[in-house]
Amino acid sequence: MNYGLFFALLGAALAVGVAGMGSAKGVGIASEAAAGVITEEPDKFGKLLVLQLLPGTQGLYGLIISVMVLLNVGILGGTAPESAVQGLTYLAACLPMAIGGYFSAASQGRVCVTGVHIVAKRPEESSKAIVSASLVELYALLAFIVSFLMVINIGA
Amino acid sequence: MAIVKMKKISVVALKEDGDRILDTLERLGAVEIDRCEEKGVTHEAVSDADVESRLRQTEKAASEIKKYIRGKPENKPEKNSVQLAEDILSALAHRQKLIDEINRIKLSVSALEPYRELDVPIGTRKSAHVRFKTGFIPGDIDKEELVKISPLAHFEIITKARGRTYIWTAFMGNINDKLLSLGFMEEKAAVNVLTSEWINEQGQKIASLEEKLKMLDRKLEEYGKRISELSVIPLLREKERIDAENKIGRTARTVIITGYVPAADSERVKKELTGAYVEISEPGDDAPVMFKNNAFAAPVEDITGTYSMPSADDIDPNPIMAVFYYLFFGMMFSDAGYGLLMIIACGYMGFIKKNKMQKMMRMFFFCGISTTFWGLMYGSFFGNAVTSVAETFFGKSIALKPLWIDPTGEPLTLLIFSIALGFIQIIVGLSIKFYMQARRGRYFEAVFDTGSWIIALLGICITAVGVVAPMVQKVGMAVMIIGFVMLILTQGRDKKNIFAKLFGGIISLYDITSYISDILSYSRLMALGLATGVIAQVINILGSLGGKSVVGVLMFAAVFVIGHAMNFAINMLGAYVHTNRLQYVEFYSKFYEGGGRKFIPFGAYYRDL
Repeated sequence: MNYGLFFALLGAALAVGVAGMGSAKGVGIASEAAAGVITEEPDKFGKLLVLQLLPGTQGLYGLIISVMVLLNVGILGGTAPESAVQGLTYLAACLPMAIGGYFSAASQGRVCVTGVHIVAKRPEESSKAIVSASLVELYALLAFIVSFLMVINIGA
Repeated sequence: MAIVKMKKISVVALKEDGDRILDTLERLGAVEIDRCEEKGVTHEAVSDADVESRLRQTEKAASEIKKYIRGKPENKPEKNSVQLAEDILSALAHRQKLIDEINRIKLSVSALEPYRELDVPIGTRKSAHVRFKTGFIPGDIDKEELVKISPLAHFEIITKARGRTYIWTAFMGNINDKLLSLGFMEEKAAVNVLTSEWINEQGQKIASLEEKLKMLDRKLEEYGKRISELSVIPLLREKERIDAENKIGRTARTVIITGYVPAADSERVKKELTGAYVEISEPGDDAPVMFKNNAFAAPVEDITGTYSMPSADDIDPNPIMAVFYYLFFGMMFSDAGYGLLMIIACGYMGFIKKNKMQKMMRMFFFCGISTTFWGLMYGSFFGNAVTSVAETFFGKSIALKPLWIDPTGEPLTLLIFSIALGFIQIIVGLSIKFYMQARRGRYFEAVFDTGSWIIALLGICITAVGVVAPMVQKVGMAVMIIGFVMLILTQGRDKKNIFAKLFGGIISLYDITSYISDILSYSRLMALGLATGVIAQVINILGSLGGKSVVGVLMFAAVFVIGHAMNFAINMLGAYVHTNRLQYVEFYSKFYEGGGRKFIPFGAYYRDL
């Protein structure tokens, strides 16, 4: 056991943990808003569910990055990093996902809350609310791509 | 395969024929009636408030009665009985009253229950010389302590329960203060018979109320069998009819109906409207629009419709968009197993079983085909389920070989491919804009504004492809520069002096950032495709942790079903949302103007049912 593995695991933990925090926050506020609408109009549950779930994807991207790291550093496969620097490299690779995931999920949650209001007042416009939310998602995707490329190429 | 051509229709008929004409129009379901604005006509203003209130009543009754339906009721959604809706609602109100009454009695019984053994009525508060009190003191208290209160008082402890001591006292003089200091709460119920008798009485009351409740429930179940009589369709129809009546122009002797009809239906409609003067003419720009597409493109019409209906200048984007839609959805969902599930479920719902969501199901059916295709290309069938099962349970290593590329192995290739698709879609979008501008005779705009960008983007594209051969790259650079020069020379053409013209041209190059961001946006094709596959693999890894044993198999099955169901739901949602976004934000923004109004013919809704 050396610091290399520790740093790599710290990275994996941050990727899934911090991105997950963002998702939890985003899904949380969107669901709170949706619950208010559902008490009045339970029929809108289907449309609202989409908005509730949208900020949840960042946590999943975080999970992917995290698993990719675990697959490389000897937890689920691969070999443990030999030096602390190599471990820190994994940590660095996880940061885009952690940071990008957290902030995009949190603000996507807020967009979804306004989307819930759109669905409450004009259910026929729900797809526009969904598209608005997906505008924010792009930045999580970009972070994901960068983290992903970094992780798979460290081993190579 | 296009936007349906509309005609304007005006029908003039004698007043007494008005109803008959409307009946015919409703039956045909091919004409949208708009408000007649001819000079000198008057309009009726019938309120639909009554229909609205019946509609609300029916909806409420129908949703409430569902709880009382046993088995499957006959489905004949054609009748609407207001009487039934009213009966149901009043029965439900009565039921609620009964329940409230029962609860109220139960509550008072439970309050007096501890006094059951008391052999004096609670309501008896005094005799000739002595006064009585009944009540309780919180906590456990003994008779000895009570006796200390006053020598002129007699105490009985009735029972000790619920952490209280229930007492009865007969006294002379004033012991209130002393009792209160112990926390005594007097029971003030006006019950003038023995408590036990009273409780029995109340029990009988409850029994009779519950009997009534049962009868009411049976009645509601009877009503439930008639749920088919609670259809809202006749009411919606009535409402539409009132709306149409209000739009008709009226003179002293005639009625005038104006509206729109698809050109193809106009002759048929004219023939059906006997005994009236019918005029078919060319519509203005504000005519409503309707799509007509083949089976492949029709399912995505609603996707376009939610964005916006086309304006008079637009072409029908659906046939082209459908190709990209199915392609992109498949790339993002990209799992042969999930795709097959979609094909089976959505194929059944879209083509075999009749239902309201048929169009959407057909769309997902085609998306399913594309998903299966891309799943095979990427070698993903429920992730790496084949490998996982073979390794864990049979000790062999079999793998489903990707037909084209392993996304986790060569993500960069996939990223470049995704971006290339973005280039293609955006250039297609610009080409459509080019065509639309040229069709309207705006050749300058077509060539300079749109054409230059097409050339510049093609140049960038060729340069990028040309990384392999320097010769190609040079050609690409040249094309790109031609495009940019065209932009610099032409984009300032509205400006007055030469410097402003040049400046305007150079500034326009700044738009390249928006094109780049649009094109990079297509990287989601790779990212979401990757996400589906990797999560599916994680599920399989978790499932196979149990190893090769009976427990292991069971665990694998459980994790497999739950995990893949979740992955399916979340990633299908993701693929749907992001495919829509690519069409709306990246593609439609290039050429589609929108802002049209959907053609909603009078009566068509009911004709389809």
